[in-house]
Amino acid sequence: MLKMIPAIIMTAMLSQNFILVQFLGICPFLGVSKNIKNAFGMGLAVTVVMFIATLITYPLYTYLLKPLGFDYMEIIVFIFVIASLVQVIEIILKKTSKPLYEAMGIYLPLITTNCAVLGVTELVLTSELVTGLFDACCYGLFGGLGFTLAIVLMSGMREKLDTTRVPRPLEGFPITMLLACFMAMAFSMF
Amino acid sequence: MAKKESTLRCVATLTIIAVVCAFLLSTLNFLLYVAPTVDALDGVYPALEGYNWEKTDTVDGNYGNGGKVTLAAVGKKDGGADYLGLIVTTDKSGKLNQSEYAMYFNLSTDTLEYAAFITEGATGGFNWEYAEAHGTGGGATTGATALTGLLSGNDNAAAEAELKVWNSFLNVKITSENVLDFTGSIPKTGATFTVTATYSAFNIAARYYYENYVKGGDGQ
Amino acid sequence: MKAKDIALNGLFRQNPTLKLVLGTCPTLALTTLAMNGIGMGLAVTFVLTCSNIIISLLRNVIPSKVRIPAYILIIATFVTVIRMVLNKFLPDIAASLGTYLPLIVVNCIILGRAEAFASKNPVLASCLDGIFMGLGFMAALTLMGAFREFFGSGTLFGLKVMDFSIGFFVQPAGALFTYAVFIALYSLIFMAVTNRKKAPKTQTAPTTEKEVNGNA
Repeated sequence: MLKMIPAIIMTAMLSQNFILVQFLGICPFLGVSKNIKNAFGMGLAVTVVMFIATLITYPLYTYLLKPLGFDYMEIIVFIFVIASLVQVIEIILKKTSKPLYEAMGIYLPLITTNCAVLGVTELVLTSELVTGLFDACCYGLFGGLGFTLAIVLMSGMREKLDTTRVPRPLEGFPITMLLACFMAMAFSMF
Repeated sequence: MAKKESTLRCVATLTIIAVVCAFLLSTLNFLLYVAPTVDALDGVYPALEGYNWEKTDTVDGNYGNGGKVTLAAVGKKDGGADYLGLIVTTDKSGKLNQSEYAMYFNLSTDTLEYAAFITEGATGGFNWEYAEAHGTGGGATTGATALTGLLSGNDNAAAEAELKVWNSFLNVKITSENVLDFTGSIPKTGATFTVTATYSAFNIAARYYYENYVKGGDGQ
Repeated sequence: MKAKDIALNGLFRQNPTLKLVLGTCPTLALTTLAMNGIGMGLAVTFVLTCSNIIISLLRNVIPSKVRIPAYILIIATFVTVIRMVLNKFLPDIAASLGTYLPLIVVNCIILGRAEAFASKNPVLASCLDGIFMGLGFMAALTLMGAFREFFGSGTLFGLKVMDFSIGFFVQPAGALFTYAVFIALYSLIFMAVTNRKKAPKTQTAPTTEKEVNGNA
């Protein structure tokens, strides 16, 4: 079981990077990558939610929904777990840690509809690498870190891009995607 | 007071929507159940090349929590023995629950000759390394073991025969899991059986075969 | 709002893929084949139309505090419905859409239209909006799929048309490149059309980062 962990780390973080290879979580990747600080906050918040969401949904599906024959309710249950989880984290952060809330709080509401979070909870159900809860959580955690890596790298480049002139039709999204295109080429080497 | 009412209304609205959605989905899930077709039996067992499969009525193929026979078909070919092909879908716990297995009984010798996966359930965590580690078991003899027990009148015989039966399963390495006889309960016989849902599949198939083709004469 | 306006908005002026840049995940991941574009497009159109109708019907009933969870519930239900229907009748398409089928739930287009249109407009208009936004999405995805399939595998809708192919286009990097090219082309055409209509609203190239931020 443990010998799969390095494979999971490599896969979740790099070779099947959520953003650049699987295209999950592109919206925040394009939206919140304008400066490094925000990108880092978003990445961290997503990582936390991905980890906890997997921790909850994987056993919920394996030990409750599936044996009871309610597996067709999977989508509704998962999205509801994620939405409530995000709410709970927001409330806890607000009550306990002011600086952490200020750093992550504004990104939390956006995470409910982040494909990467629902994506990871669905992926660990079918992935060949995942044999148990521990593997699943590992996948969630390192998938999140891979997300953070991609979004932070991107924001670094976009900060430089702000000072350059870009042809008009390429302004905004297209030039960002071209940048991501080169990053994806690099990541496909893994 | 006004605030309390609105909270109540929020909760009520959400609950109603959730209940309606759940009801709608369970109805549709029932209506849109995808039953396997005889095509699923074709080409799984290489020795049965060129057989024509014809669906038979599945007589009580539902064994509670263990799983069910979702398709039964008889295969015929000129100059070849008749075969019963079963698709068994496991329910409940254990590795590889909710998987589909194809099982082939030779009707003239009353043996389970071959078994293989069709679809792997969502639990995962399973290796195809059995052949490498242990060498493959002989299908014909071990398939008969489960049936022999049943023929001798012991209802739980299939469960007792399990540890031999799984040996025949195609290239599967089974790790220890606490599970279950064909009904989905721990076998009565006392010993701690470490069985997976895969075992249940064998037992379900053996039981189905026994009840429809041995006990009641020719079944259908 | 007139039906013609709604149709034009969905298909061109407010095209969800090319103008609003919403629902980017399936757009990038599934456009390796033109057929995927049609499959995904139809699935999204179905979900979007149904959820728009229901949300519009319930727009005065759902308290605004819990509207987002309520919308998500409704959307998730229809996504599950289309998943069951595809599994039953078109298993091949269901298999090629894979994980991206359940992910329609978090497709920003659907929640975006629920929030921006269906929660404020009558049923008929919302229904039309759903249909045309969905068709706009499908058109964009199918075009991009055809482009990538043509250059990347030398086929179109699975039929062989070319003897050579450039593998880059079916790889992830090719998806981002293609999407960039398509948005750039779209804004060029958009600019040309708006200029000719001598109504030079300064709104030209994609200026929608805020919207995406809001819906991400």
